[in-house]
Order: sequence, then C-alpha cells, then structure tokens
Amino acid sequence: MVADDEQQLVARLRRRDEAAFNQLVRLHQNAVYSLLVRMLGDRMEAEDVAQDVFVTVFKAIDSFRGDSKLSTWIHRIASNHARNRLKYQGRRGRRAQRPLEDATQEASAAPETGSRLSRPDHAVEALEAEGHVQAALAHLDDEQRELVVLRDLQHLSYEEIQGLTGLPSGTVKSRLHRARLALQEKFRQLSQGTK
Amino acid sequence: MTPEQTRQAFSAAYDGELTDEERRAFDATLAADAELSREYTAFCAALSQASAALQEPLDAPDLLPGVQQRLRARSRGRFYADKFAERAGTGPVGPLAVVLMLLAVVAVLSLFVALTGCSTSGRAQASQPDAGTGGGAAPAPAPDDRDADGVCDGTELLIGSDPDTADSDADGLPDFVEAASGFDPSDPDVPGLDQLASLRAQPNAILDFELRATADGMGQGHTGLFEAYETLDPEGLTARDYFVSGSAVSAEPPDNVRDVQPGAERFGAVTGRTRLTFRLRFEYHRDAAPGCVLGYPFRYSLKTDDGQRVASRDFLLLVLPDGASPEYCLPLTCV
Repeated sequence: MVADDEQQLVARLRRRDEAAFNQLVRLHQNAVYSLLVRMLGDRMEAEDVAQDVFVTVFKAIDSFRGDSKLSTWIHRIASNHARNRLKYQGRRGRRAQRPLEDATQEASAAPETGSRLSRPDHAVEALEAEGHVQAALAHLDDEQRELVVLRDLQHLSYEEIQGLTGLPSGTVKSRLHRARLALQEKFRQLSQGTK
Repeated sequence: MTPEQTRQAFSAAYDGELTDEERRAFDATLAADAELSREYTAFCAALSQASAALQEPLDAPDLLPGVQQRLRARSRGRFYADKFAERAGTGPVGPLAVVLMLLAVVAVLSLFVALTGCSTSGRAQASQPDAGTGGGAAPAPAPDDRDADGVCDGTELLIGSDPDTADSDADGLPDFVEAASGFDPSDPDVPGLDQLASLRAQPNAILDFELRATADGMGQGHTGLFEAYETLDPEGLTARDYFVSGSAVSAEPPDNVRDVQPGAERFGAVTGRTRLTFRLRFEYHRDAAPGCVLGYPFRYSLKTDDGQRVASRDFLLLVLPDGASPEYCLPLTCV
C-alpha cells in the first residue's frame, strides 16, 4: 500500500468507517495472526488475541500519529497484547497440557529426512523448515521467544526492543543471543530427528 | 576479544549492532581463528534459514466476524449493528441475526420456564416483573431477582454476573439464557454470533446451519458428531428433537482430504491444517408455535477414526416464534 493510500485509509478509519476497517482487518490479519502464533505458540490463543488487537486498533486509531507505517503500529499493538497474554498466563499458571496444535506440529515436524541447512531451496523443504522453526520456537521460554520474534520476525532494532521490553541494552544483546543459540540447537535436533 | 567474547558477539555482529571498534576486533579474532570463523558461518547460516522460515506468513482464519462481534458488543451496538452479513460461514440466517440476538434472550429462558408461563403471552418479564396479565401466563420472577432476569441474586453472585443487570455482558442475551446454555453471562464474546442458529417456529420450516472446524490432520478420517444438551424445557425437548441430519460439505484446501462423505458427516484421510465445513439441518415440525423464543444448546465435535475428539464447540439453537419482537422465555421462578 502506498503512503497516500494509507493516509486515506487512516482518515477513513478515524471516521470509524466500517468498510475501511473491514479492509484493514483483511489486509493485516495474516501478518498479525502469524506474529501472535509465533509469540504465543498456540493458534487458538493467537486467534483470540488477534481479534482483540483489531478491536484496539479500531478504538485507538486516533492515537496513530503517522510517524511509522500503519503496519508497524499494528504490530506493536499485537506485541503488547501478546506480552499481556503471556503475563496473564504466567499469573494463572501456564497450561499444564501443551496445546494440541503444538503436539501436532511437533509430530509433523519429526524429520523423515536427514536434510539440514544447505540444500537448495525446495517447496517441501521450506515447509519442513517452517514446521521445525515453529516447533523449536515452542521450546523457548516466553522471553526468549519474544526476543527472537521481535528481532527476526519484526526486524526491530535493539533499541526498539529495549524500549518495548524495558530490558537494558546489554541484556537485550545477551539474552537474544542465548535465545538464538537455544533456537538453533533445537532446530538442529529437529532437523536431525533427535528431539 | 577472547574466543568466548567473540561467540557472545555473534548475534550482534549478525545484526550489524556492533560498534565500529567492536566490529574491527570481532573481525580480527575471526581472521586469526579458523575454527571460530567456521562456527560463525554456521551460526549465520542457521539463523538465516530460521529467519526465512519465520517470514512465511500463516493463513489466519477469517478474523473479521469475530472482530465485528466484539466491536458490536463492546460498543453496545453502535458499530456493526447491521453488518451480520459480513460474518464468515453461513451460520444462522443472516437477516435474522439481529432479531436473534434479541430473541435469544427470551428463548432459553423459556426452556427453563414452563411454557405455560410464556407461550401464550410471548412475554418475558425482564423489564416488567409484574406483567402477569393478558392470558395470565406471564411468569413472575422471584422476589430475590432484582433484575428479573430469571437468575436469582444469590446465583448471580456465585456465577459472577450482575444481579442488577438482566444482561450483564450487554451482548444481547440475558443472563439466564447464557447460564442455562452453558455460556458465561459475563463474557460479551460468548456465544459468538456464529454460535447462534435460528429456526423459525413455523410448520416444516427448515434451517441449514453451516459450521466450520479446523483439523490438523495426520491422514485419519474426521467425522462430525452432534450432541444435544439437556434442557429445562418443560416438555423435555432438546436440540435433538429439531435436528434432522448433518452432512460434510467441503474442505479447504480441498486437496487436503481424500474424499468427502456428506451423509456420513465424514472427511476421509485429512492431511495438514484443513478447514472442514459441515451443514446441520434442523426442522420445526410442531403445529403450535411458542409465544417466546426458546433456546436449545448443543455441541458439535470433530472426531478422528480412532475415536479421539480433537475439537468441539457449543452452539445455541434458537426457535423463533413469528411476531414483531418476540422475547425470550423466562422461568416462572428464578434459579
């Protein structure tokens, strides 16, 4: 979407134009949902939180100042919602049982080939890698998963991550590094079939 | 930089977050240590692949209907009050949905109530606790039901609803309807509009209600299962009494299933994440129509061939009498 189109859309959103809002949801729902699945590790939770994200967007559109892209602003709201949900889950005690989806994904991610990182791109392999990464992500703790998603999915700078998480700069660096090592190790295990 | 310090800097180096001075030291260490250099190369390769995989967008379910429903509930109908046609799926009849929301309140209540209480007057007394005239049929709420919604004040405290508000979560369904149907009367998001099925109380009226379930298939067949909850209907009716048949309709993506067996409510050999659509047919086969809206909760589940229930969801069948604005049936005394 070019800037002018986005400005027009925002103007319509500020008028609480429902058709414009429908357009916005359909435009961004895959990205928001993907982000939330990565952060929460549970598709049903992600669907629930994603709906709340768009409700917040609808209510808070007047506070969008336009100094970033609309998608960035929406992703930030999604990140905040995900963090709140994780905190809420933490207070209530995490699910004793892993969600079915995780179990399914892990099962489907069980490698049948020993392929690893350096083979040429191939659709099947890409899907396999996607499953492995999601399964590996699910094994990180909440903070590690969040840092990986913020950096490697949302491409936020360290400074932005610092602002969002409240962690000191050095802590962001070291924890992100540990998170990536943990992700890499789990990814390697899944790829080799040694969960 | 020591080798360990260099390892700790892998991420920052990969992200270009090292200062010029740090970068020079980092590069110098790698240049002098071939093993460390290979380690860094492997680290970058793994991270690149993981990042690339993370960029793959997932297909979201259609979020719009749920978002609209939340906005409508939270704005108390100011937004999306007439946009039910936007709903995903073909759940209850679109144009009826608004009416449904109004009617639903009366419906379940009447289950609870003796039909004698509301069937002739068609009036619940959520707003008129003492309106017991006309046919002498209107039920009178118990004295300890301040909001006259059929749920006693003590019960409301127990279940967390507001004893002074007949519809605590302002979602259009009175507390009694939700509580009697197994939904949380304090949560505006349940039941969702796609969980309401409306059947006209006219002889031979048919409702085809479509619902969707998502399966993460591993090659097994998936079969739908309809189950009716017990109700407080004085005649002992449940959703089963209106249910005619269920059928498997379609799968998305279609290639994820081997075959669709409509009459058996079954999809054969489901592989991968697949959205399955079922159609439930209900029929009103009685001669007389109730005077107020009746509600019958039911559950629809997805089972795999080995009998494992992999998904289930609750719904509410509303039986709607003709009339401009029928209300939900209320119990004669609060519960």
